[in-house]
Amino acid sequence: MAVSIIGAGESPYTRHPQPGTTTSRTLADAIGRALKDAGLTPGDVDGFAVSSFTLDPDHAIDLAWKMGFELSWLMQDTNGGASAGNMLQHAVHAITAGDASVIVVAAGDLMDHTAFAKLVARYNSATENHLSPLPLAGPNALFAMLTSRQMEKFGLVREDYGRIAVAQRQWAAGNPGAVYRTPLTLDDYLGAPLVAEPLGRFDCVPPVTGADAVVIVADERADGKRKAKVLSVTASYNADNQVGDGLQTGLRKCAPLAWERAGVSPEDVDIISVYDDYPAMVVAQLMDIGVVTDGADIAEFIDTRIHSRDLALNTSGGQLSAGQAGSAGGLHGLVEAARQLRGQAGDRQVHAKTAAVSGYGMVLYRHGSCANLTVLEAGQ
Amino acid sequence: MSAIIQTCTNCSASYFPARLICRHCHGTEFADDKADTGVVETTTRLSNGLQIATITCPGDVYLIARIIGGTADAGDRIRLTNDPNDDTAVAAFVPLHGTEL
Ligand SMILES: [Zn+2]
Repeated sequence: MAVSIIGAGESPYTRHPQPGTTTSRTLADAIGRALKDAGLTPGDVDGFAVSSFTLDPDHAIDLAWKMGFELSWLMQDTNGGASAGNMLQHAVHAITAGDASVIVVAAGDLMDHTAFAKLVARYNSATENHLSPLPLAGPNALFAMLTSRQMEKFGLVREDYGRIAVAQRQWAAGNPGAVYRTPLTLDDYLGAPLVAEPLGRFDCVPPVTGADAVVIVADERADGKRKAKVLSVTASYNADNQVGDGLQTGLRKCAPLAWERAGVSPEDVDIISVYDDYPAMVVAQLMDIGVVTDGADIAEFIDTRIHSRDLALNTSGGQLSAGQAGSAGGLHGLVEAARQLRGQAGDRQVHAKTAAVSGYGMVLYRHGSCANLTVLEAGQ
Repeated sequence: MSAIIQTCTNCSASYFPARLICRHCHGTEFADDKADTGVVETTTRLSNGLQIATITCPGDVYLIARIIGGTADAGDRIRLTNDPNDDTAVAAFVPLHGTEL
């Protein structure tokens, strides 16, 4: 049975949430927008999946209750930047198995300064015991060292990463929902204060408060609606046991099967959302999913395909310009792909029949441990 | 004051942070071993001035450490300590692994 996304919504991202903003209300706002986009109401929903770092003490069922969802399928996900792909993978099977027919997949967080500090200090026990006491507040230092390893291995320089950030900012200009839309020059990028050498301010995602949601249904319910058909979702967890250089993600393992099942090849896909917590991870994931082939001149690819925006990559501006709404970071790219495939991307609309969306996340100690790839196709 | 590494009592595989099951022999008995030195693999300097490093030890052990008592460069062999105040000479501070898992 084919399964499609027929609605997508995003609660407006903001660096400074209004007093009284809560995680639950932010999620409900995104869900309401996605349902409206799908032409459905809360009464139509019979499956619900949610991921959030800041929902505590509530859980998925509390949200379902407060939104009036009466469900036959429910899940809560804890996989951060890989949460969207994980929830989608489960949702596709739930619909195929007949456990639910209309599933809302949502993720979001209230991510103000206090929430962010609390999240990164106690991200997991390894962080709490071995990184926070260094002291280290968040993953910038870890990805700075990963970036250094990538620079050394592939002969990359800061300008190469800067061209990725500059291109994504250009895409963001066409996205009214991005928190940073004013043009960024390479000089701006290079001149910004260093956060953790070699990473500067524009290598790091701005934490924002916000949420994203998509509505997934069996294809027969999607008749006559613009849809993004899910061709494949594959995942990899704990691919390297945190041993090694972190330059290869779990996508290296799971991407070939996603392309094979979808019948789409990496060189043919029209738009790509890769999980851009740092520009180095954009590079790593493009290599792992086969868009940048092994042995290719990476600097040249960045210049001629990404910087030129010949490649429709992170067309919302990505998290680097749109913002990282906590666990919504992975769903943000899926919402953008769904909007592009359904012709709803406004000033940044590209001609796209197929899309690929990667997820990457959950730094256990040194680098991310969860990854997934989704391949989608536009349909009517 | 060395760094404390978890060692499988059956096959001597080394881990940091501590694991529940040895992924080489699937044993569940571990002991704490001292590691006195390691090799600096990568470093970064934070905006607050701290130098953070990745340190390698034999057996595919990678430690995230703060350099204290001086600065370190990639390739240096460096003394390991679990005491952040042990900074009379350059060392890599590796917070003790907890016993809770
Ligand atoms: Zn063993």
